[in-house]
Amino acid sequence: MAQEEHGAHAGVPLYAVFAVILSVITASEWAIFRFREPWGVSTPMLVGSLAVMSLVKFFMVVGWYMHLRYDPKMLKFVFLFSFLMISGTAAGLLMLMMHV
Amino acid sequence: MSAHIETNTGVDNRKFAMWTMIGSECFLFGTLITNYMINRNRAVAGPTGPDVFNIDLTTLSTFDLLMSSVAMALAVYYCKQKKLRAMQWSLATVVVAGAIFLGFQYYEFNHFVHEGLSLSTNIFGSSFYLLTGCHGAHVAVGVMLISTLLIKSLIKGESWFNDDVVEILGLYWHFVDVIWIIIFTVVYLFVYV
Repeated sequence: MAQEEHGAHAGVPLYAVFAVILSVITASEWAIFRFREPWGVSTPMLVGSLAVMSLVKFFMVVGWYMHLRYDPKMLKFVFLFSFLMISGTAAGLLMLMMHV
Repeated sequence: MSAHIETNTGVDNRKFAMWTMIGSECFLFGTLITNYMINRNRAVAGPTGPDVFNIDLTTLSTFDLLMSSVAMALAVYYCKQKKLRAMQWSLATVVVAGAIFLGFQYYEFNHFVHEGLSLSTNIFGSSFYLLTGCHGAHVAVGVMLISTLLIKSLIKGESWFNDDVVEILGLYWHFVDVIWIIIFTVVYLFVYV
């Protein structure tokens, strides 16, 4: 299985590096939110930076901790199809409902 | 250790089933998050997010859940390496971190209710509690499942190395973490947007 091949490469050092990166991103999110006024962070910049950091964390956990990066295409399809479909539905609904 | 069963898809059926469940859970949480985003600014009475949220505390609980995911990844790794004690310590860390997260959530909900925000106060409260409560229920289920796994490995010792089961439960736990990553940003950090 691709999973087992991956098992030979991933180890404690990799997971430790990821733990540090996830912690730093979470701390950065908190700092940007907390100091948005003194730092003069505009709303579009706040939304953009927080969304990007959230997505990075999302794909790190899904790709490496959930091993989707190393899994067969079929599993990638099952997850990404569902995720993209609900994201599109959510975006459509939000655009419709925000003006109601 | 469980034997790998040959399937015509080339993927373990249980793993495929877990990914399919995770796919369906995407729809559940996607719907709840969309519901929250549509209704969060429509409350006509009572407190809303900016009045009650404590971002410092929620950041701590987010950090706690992220670290539990690291421990879960290590548990899967140690199980594959056949390192029983290390795997058990990792699983125990996941259980404790999950329980701490639930404690944070209990404290937060309790505080919000004292501030006057309950499930029936306004539409913000309804959609907020529905979303975060549903996530909390998933964490609680995960803590129970991983506790069961830990107890089983403690009882059976070296004869128990079921790396498929640990990996599949790991998928569930990481998914719960992934959902919180989205909730933390969309519900808490976008509170003034």
